[in-house]
Order: sequence, then structure tokens, then C-alpha cells
Amino acid sequence: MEVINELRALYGVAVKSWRIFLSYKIWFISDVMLGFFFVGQALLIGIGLTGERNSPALQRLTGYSDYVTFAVLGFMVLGFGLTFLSGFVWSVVDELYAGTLEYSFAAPIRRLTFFMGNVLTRIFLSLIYMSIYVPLFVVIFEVRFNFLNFIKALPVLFVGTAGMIGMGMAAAGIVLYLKDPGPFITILEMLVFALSGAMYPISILPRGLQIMAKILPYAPTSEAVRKVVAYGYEKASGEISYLIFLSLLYALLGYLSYKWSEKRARTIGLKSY
Amino acid sequence: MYAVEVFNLKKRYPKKIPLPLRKVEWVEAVKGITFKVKKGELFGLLGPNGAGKTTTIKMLTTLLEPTEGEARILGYNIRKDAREIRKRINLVAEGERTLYWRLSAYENLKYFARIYYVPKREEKERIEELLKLVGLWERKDDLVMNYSRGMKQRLAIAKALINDPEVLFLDEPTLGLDVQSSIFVREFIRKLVDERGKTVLLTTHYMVEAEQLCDRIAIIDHGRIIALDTPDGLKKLVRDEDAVEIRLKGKGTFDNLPWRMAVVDEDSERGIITLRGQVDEEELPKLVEWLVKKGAKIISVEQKEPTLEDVFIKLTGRGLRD
Ligand SMILES: Nc1ncnc2c1ncn2[C@@H]1O[C@H](COP(=O)(O)OP(=O)(O)O)[C@@H](O)[C@H]1O
Ligand SMILES: [Mg+2]
Repeated sequence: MEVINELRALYGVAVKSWRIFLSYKIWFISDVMLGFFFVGQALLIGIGLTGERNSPALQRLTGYSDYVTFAVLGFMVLGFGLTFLSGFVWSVVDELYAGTLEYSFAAPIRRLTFFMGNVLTRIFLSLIYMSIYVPLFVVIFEVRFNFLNFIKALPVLFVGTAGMIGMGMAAAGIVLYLKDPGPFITILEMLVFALSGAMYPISILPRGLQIMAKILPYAPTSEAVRKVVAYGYEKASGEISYLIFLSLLYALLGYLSYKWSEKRARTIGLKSY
Repeated sequence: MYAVEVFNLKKRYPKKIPLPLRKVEWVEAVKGITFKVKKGELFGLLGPNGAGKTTTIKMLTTLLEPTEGEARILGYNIRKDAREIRKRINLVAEGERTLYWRLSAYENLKYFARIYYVPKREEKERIEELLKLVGLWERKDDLVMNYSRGMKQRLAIAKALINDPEVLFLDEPTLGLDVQSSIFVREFIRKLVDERGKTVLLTTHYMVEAEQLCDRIAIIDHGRIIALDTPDGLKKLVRDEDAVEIRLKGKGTFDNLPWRMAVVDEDSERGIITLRGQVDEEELPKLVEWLVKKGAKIISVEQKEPTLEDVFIKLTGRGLRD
């Protein structure tokens, strides 16, 4: 009974945030276009710099010789990661500042359910975006990868997702305190973008940034997904084990730090709280 | 059995978010209040802006952690049993932007039904019943952003009934409403108590509202309860004395008089100020003389039936207005 109630609540939150998202029709279109042009350009820059599609340097670094295939896979992981991070944070911030968060927080629904409901909508959205982008890139850039292998790699992506959700919760906890969270979120997004290993292998980064990239959940997810797509699960077991460890750690720490943060917010009493 | 029991509840806020090395200054919003609300009672917290009403409501609805003191809702401790309390209560928060404006009334209620664990088989019926009850059934599919202020408030009340709560917390439920909507809301609240046996704790700074609506009233000022009784009981505090209302024309401020008088109305268009308070016959000429010396032109001096506002003025020397 408890479980069914919680699942219905989860569904209720997902439906609500989906409806609200749909009410911003123009955003949806601009979101899709922006992502497309952004990634399209990144791809073109990559090709322009290496001079050709197939780079021996990339092959040496990552096992992929085709830059576009490499980047499209990375981009899909990044797309996921960013939807969680910004989506998560904004779904809290928007409601916090619009004044609608209080009624949800006053309800008996568990906090994790509330967040996961919002995340569910974002996952669904990400999948829609992907299903628009990927075929487009495949056609325009003639990307070649085994689609079946990609489907096989999805579980790895979902493992990484747990860590990305943790990151999102931790960030949401911080954002509760910021008067103007815009800059914080933008910086965080840039950082995640730069360290995600989506558009270039992280091994070309300076040493310090490499370490940061390694301990954030994004690059390890990209790497594990790419390895599985190219070589299968057995060869990727090292990457996958590390990702599982990292993801669980982030999920746990993210949840706990959010909890702590909200408890503190209830103590000091935020203006919009 | 009490629905709400509050013991020496306190809340202080830091003026700024406390950071390491930052010296913290505190605002004492609620300074130790104690009261009990019986089951089936309509209890009012009456006080001016900044008295600590919203802070109290937020602590009792588990949205804010108290700094000190204890409170129990239906026997549950607000610090430890938040989820049990949340299942059994509901609230209408202050202000207008509390529901999802981009959703319809129906979608809003569906959302709240789910996060309040309303059983699936009851959901549809409950939502329909509530929307009809607050007179929004015909407009159920319109977006809330197209609703008037009064309609939004009626929807907020429907939302607050979605889990059939035993105790309802209403923070300034008629603030900013037009006269008709206010009347609807007040009658509706009274009926909830009389016909459905709900317990209601509401806050207001309209003394007429408190007087007409509430079974008992706690007058709260600067975070302290300064009087608590039935409306009649409270008015006994001033019955013996005469309530005087003076209307005058004049520049300057007439707050902080050496008598317990307060400005209760200010018609800035015509420059007319209305003062009110308890003054006995011997004092009245001195008061008038004092006002004239201050440059006031007296328009009228009238005796009035004492109201709760007079109680507040007598206790604090100030009026209830913003
Ligand atoms: N989040 C907050 N941070 C700091 N001070 C606050 C906060 N919320 C309220 N206050 C202060 O606490 C006092 C009581 O406020 P409030 O409970 O909103 O009163 P009321 O609802 O009676 O108008 C006021 O002085 C107000 O400025
Ligand atoms: Mg208030």
C-alpha cells in the first residue's frame, strides 16, 4: 500500500512537471535547435582541426578513429548529464522562486520521490531530444556505429545516471541558499561540459583537470559507454566497476548533502521558504 | 483532546545567511508562545504585519524548524513526526503565487491528490466534489493564470481539503481579496468547522474577520501573545471605557500620542486621518487641545461601540493596520 501510494505520487509529480514543460512551447523548440547547432558546430570544429574524419591521434587515445562517432556518443551522455544537473536544479529553483515549492514540501510525499518524479520527466525529455538529434547526426555526418551495441550500453548509461542525479541533488541543496542562482548554475554547467569528455578525450586535459574529470561522474560514464559500444562488456569491466563505485558514492553523498541542506534551510528560514 | 498544543514556541532568524566568520545578527520572530486549540474549534491568530503569524504557521505545518519550545498536532510532535502530521493536516499559505498557474484547476488538484496519497478510487470523486464546493467546477479546465484573485484563493482552499485533513492552517485567507470573495471565504471556513467538524487555525490582521469568524482569538504582537479569549471576552477588556473616534484634517504624524490612541484610517486624497482609542471624559478635552496644538483641524469626535481593534490599541498603543 505504502509503495503503491509512493509510486502514484511519483507519477503525479512526473505528470505535473511534464505538463508544465509542455506549457512552454517555444522553449521546447529553442532547446532542440540550440542543442543541435551547438553540437553540430562542435563536431565541425573537431573535423576542421583534425583535418579529416578519421584521426590516428584519436585512435591512439581512445580506440575510436572516427571523431564524429566518438563525439556523438559523448554528447548523448553529456545530454543526459546536463538534463539532470540543470533540470534538477532549475526545477527546484523555479518552484522556489515562483512560490509553488512550499505546498509540495508540506505534503507527506517523500522528498526523494518528489525529485525522482521531476527527474523522470527529464529522462523522458532527454530521450526525445536524443531521438531527434541522433538520427539527424547519423544522416548528416554519416555516423557509423552499431546501434545494437548502443542499446546494449544503455544499462551503463543508467548506472552513470545515479551519480548524475546525486550531483544534481547536491547542487539543488546549494541553490536553496543563493539569491540569484543563475551564474552558479551556468558555471557548473560549463565545468561539467568541459570535464565530461564528450567532445574530446579527457587525456588531453591538463593533469589537474584530468583528475577532476575522473572524479566527476560524467567522463567515466562517457568512457564506459564508449568502451562498451566499441568492444563489449568484458573489455569494459574495469571502467564499469569504477563507474558503479563512483555513481553510488555520488548518489549517496548527493542525497545526504541535500537532506542536510534542506534541514538547515528549515532552521535558518529562507525568504522564499 | 486538543488538535493543536503549543508550548513556549520560539523562532529566531539570522538576518543574513550565516557563513563562517560572519557575525550573525538575529531577528526574534516568535518569542515564546503558548496556546491550545480544541478539536472542532475555529481559532484565530490576530496581529499586525510582522507579528510572527506566518512564522508560527510554518512551524506548526513542519515547514520551519522551531528554535525552542514544543508543539503537538493531533498528539504528534512537530519535530519528530513531520510525515504523520503532514498526512493529517493541510494549509493555505500566504499570498497568491502558491499554485501552478500554468496548469488547470483540475490538474493542480490531481497533483496534490497524488502527493497526499489520496486513494485512486476516491481521487476523481473527491476532486469533483471539492471543485463544486468552491464553485470552480465550470472553470475546472481553465489555466489558473486566467483566474481572478478570488478564484485562485478558492482553489487554494480546495487544495487544502484534498486529503480531508483534520486540522487546517490558513495564513491570512482573505488578504487581497475583493469584498465578495472575502465573504465567500469566511462563510466557507465557518461551514467547514460547523458542518464538517474541522479544526481551523487561521491568521489575520483584519480585526472584523477575527471578531466575526473565530471562536477564540489570540492577539499576537512582536512575537508574543498579549491576550487570548473569545471575541466577547476580549472586548470586556475595553467595555467599561469609551471608545472614541476622532476624525481630523492635518499634516504631520499622529502616531505615538501620549494617549493610547492609534491612527486607524488615513484618507490621503482628502487628507483626513481617523484616530481611535479609549479616552475618558476628563481626558478628552486635553487630547483635543493637544491635537489642535499639533496643527490638527478636528472634524468630528464620536463615541463608538468597542471592537477588537480597541482592545489591540489599548494593549499596544498602536493600530492593526499595515
Ligand atoms: N526568512 C526570514 N528571515 C529573516 N527574517 C524573517 C524571515 N521571515 C520573517 N522574518 C521576520 O520575522 C518577523 C515575523 O514575520 P512573519 O512571521 O512573516 O510575520 P506576520 O506573518 O505576522 O506578518 C518579521 O520581523 C519578519 O521580518
Ligand atoms: Mg504573514
